[in-house]
Amino acid sequence: MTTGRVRVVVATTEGPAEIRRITAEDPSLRSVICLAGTSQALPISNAYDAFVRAPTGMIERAVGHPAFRVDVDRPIGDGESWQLGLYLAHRLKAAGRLAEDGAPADGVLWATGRVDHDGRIGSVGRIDVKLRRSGESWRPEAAPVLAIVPVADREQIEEGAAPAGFELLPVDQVDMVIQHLGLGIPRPVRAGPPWRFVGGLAAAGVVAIVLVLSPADVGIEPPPAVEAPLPASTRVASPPTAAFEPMALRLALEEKHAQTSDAGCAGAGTLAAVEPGAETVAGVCALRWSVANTGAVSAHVWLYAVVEGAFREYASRTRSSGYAAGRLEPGAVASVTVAPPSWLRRAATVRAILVVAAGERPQIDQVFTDIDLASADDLDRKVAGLIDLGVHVVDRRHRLIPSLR
Amino acid sequence: MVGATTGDARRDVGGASVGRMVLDGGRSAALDQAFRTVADTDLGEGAKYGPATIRALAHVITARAYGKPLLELAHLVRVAEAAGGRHGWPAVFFGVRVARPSAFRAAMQIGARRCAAFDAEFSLVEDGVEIAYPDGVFRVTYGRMPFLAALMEFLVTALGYRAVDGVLRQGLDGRFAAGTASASANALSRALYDHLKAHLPAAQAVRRFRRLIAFLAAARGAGFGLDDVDDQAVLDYWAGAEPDTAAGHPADDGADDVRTFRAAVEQMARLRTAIEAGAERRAIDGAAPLGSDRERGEIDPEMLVGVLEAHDEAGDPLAVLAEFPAARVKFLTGRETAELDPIAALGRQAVALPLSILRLATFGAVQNRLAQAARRRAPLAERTPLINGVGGETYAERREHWRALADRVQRIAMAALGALLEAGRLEAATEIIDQAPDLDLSVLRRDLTAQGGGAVVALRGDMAAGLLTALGDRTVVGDRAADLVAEARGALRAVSRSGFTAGDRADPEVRDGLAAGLPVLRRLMARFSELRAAVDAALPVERQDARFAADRAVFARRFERLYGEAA
Amino acid sequence: MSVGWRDLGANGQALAEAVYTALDRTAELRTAGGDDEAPPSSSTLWAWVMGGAETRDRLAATWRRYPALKDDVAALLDRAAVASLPRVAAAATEDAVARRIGTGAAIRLLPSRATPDQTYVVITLDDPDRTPGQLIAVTGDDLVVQRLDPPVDGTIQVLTETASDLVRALADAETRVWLL
Repeated sequence: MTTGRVRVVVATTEGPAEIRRITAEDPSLRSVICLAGTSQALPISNAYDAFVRAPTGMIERAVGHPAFRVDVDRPIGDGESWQLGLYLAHRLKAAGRLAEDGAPADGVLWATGRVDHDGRIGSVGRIDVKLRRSGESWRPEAAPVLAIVPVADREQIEEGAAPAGFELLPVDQVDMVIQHLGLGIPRPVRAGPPWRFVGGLAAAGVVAIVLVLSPADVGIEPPPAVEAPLPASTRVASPPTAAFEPMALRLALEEKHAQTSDAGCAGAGTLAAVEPGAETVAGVCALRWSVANTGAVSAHVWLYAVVEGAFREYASRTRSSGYAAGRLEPGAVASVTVAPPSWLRRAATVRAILVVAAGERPQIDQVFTDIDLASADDLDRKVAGLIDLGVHVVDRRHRLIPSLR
Repeated sequence: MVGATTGDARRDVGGASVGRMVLDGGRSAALDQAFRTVADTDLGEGAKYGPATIRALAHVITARAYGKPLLELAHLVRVAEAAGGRHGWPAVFFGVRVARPSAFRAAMQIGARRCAAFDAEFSLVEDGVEIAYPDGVFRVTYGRMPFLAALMEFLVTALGYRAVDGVLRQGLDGRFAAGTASASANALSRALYDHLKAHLPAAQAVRRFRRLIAFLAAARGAGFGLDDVDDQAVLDYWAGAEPDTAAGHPADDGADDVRTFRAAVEQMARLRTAIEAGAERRAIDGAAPLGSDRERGEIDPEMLVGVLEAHDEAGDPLAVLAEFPAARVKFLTGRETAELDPIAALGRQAVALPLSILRLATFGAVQNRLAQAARRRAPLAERTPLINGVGGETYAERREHWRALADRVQRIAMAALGALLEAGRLEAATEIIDQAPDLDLSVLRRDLTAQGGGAVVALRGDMAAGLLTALGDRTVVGDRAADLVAEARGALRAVSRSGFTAGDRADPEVRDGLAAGLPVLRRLMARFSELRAAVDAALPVERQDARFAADRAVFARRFERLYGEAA
Repeated sequence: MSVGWRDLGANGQALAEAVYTALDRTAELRTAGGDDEAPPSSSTLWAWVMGGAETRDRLAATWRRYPALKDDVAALLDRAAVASLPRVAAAATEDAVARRIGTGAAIRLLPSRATPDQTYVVITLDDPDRTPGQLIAVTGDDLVVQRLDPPVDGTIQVLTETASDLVRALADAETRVWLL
């Protein structure tokens, strides 16, 4: 099942729930799971949203977008066993291989399992009931059906419990399935144009922009290459050729704090890596957003960061933003640094938008040409437009509390 | 400025208009509706405002004696605004589901816990809340709050929420001083005055009053007195009322006010009360020192409302029985309630007009059927027998019916007593002592004193059982009380109405209902007993058939004019 | 001995007349009735405003049936609400309203990309600790009540049909909105 379109069903004790469609929604929305095209949001929607949205969620980290709507053809009740099916569906969707809206499928994936932050697949229980229920009420269109179950639950499955045509695949890491499906394997792409950068599109001096093409940058270690080695599996096909993998482009964030409280932000300062979106301490002088190419092939990136907040109405001509765009070779890091105005004494939000594509995309350049004039709503629309282009988009916010002096 | 904020002295919620008011002969549909809105308020736990509260509200409105209550209200609003938290005063006034003192006490206690102002500006005292202004202290009791809440409900219904809140807001935002409340109260008073000026015309009632006085002067002479307002006057007034002439005075549209015999009885009963009140004032004026500045004819609204409170007890017993908690017990059937209604409605004046009540119970019932027949345009052939009294009760039958009704209700009262005894409620003891006031309780007193450590100040709960047991013990309280207790227990076994079954009696709410309803029922039955005695005195049995025949002729003639061929 | 009418004197007679008229009027007030149900009182309106799903229909029916009570209902809603959002300024009313900002909350309407005939109603609360349970929107004779799920991170999201009463009301510049 390494190529072709795949239909994904989430195994439930009431029968299999087919994922009919996944749609990227406006990033400001919370993700929802709806019943078959209706506006009836299932009660698990909040849990699904948490599963999607970074930093806690898996999906945004995997596909770079924080808000989706999923339509399923049958209610999915409480619990977390839907996580594996949804995760795999998102990965297939990102790869353009999810069979949606009843389109013909080359294979069917039947999945049940919890997925933790590190991609480990956890036990869910009652798998025999789910299998039996599927055998009674469901006639899959393609065979065999690849049934993904947690390794920890393998013991529960009695001999002959799986319906005819089911091929059981017990796994304990999502990457095992990803590899089995032929996802996440880089392929060579043609080289893009050299890097260029645009600094302070409408700024008046408070923006510091740094574009770094080397991992070595003022004492900051580049983000580690975290794509874990694929675990061995008897069912894993031989690795395909390298391909562009958007997920290999990792966004990282560092906060610059005053070196001493007396010096304020005028001094050299210290940098500390933080999780975007996490609560951090006060006294932040600037934020540096970095994108590192941890993959094997070069990619094109567009990175924009801006300080949001009500103060913008007051200081409309001193906007704090930074922008960098260009080709990023394997192992290279690009970053932009933004600082709030020195007089800001209350919390502000810094928004970063990262776009990753395999190659040059003039349409994306166009989106960024006037971005410094964009309102918050305009930014939302621009992000939505970028997603519609089918490229990998990461839209993150981080709240900083400036130096109080 | 209240005038500016209300801007609508003729606020019309339900579509009634000033034009409609004129068509109805001076009765404002809008005001009636506003009052009904208040009286009908039910937040799912029975009527929010009890009959006594509604009655008091009606008195204050009709006597225009709202000055002092509005001042109390303005003070209470200041406390409620604090106690109501984020939602302010509406949370207290509107949020209380049944307007009882206990409910307001609870609301204030909850509010006080979360509001720091209760440690400084306001304080909870035993019977209410106290406001410590820099220029004085003002107290509103919990017992007064149900009425003030009803007044607030009426104000908002009549004037609109924004208008009332606007005035109150000025006070709340103003200086924390007693004088600020006075300003708010005055502003509300002016707004209400303007509203009532348009909606509370007295002209029709005054016309009725003068018509009655003219009738009595014509019928009994200019020197008529209270004793002339009697059963015969009622019958004559009703029988003689005609659109063309009424006892010789010029035609007016007032004849329509006395189409029903009940209306005539009620008007005469009211006139009796009014004359009694006038006599009381005469006595006070006579005792007043020389140089009193009392103006001729001037009526102090506060005094008027005092008179109303003292004289107008109408309708209360049945209303109390119909409201929670007494409503949990079926003391009376619907038919029994209807039969006792005139007695309850007319109060002590019913006893003063006993034959009128008897006529109302017999011919009044016929008139109701005739009125219904007329409304549905029944053929004359159907109406004629009714006009001639065919099928109606005779006085003998009615009196026998009343005797049976009294016996039946007495058994219900005894059964209620039995249920209270069974439940160990102290109200049972009160009832027994009330019903047998000459009981010799010396032995009991000695026993209780021994239990209570030498002083019977109040009965403790653990004494209740002993007391009730003692009241059933012939050796302690004698035969009379013991017979009463035995009779009550026997009656309880024989009654199966709702509230009296074994299952119902286990419900604490039903027990509360029994305790609340029994004294009311007993007072009503005492009045009924007085009435029957008055009928016996006014109409000895040997004369009742002749009286009935004569009266039937009078009623037949009047019915013929109202509902017969000529009508 | 009977009290004579003439013996009452002018003051006594005046009081008698006042008492009679007051009793007469009191009786009329207390027996005031009619075929129609009386309009709900402020206590009743308050209970409905503060109440949950079971009172929605009654509040909406009252809004339609008693135009004169609209102002009272709106005022009580103002008093009870966690947040209130006024009519949208005239200058912004050329198109359907997509964003409303009020005291305590802002509301956005976002069409679903997945299903264009569905719309997300996104309510952002200024104070996440004040959690409304329902939204009431009024425009003209319509009063729309929407039950709200608890907020997540200060935001409540409702997905509904674009043609629903809720979205139509929220898109109308004349609509006033309260969160309770």
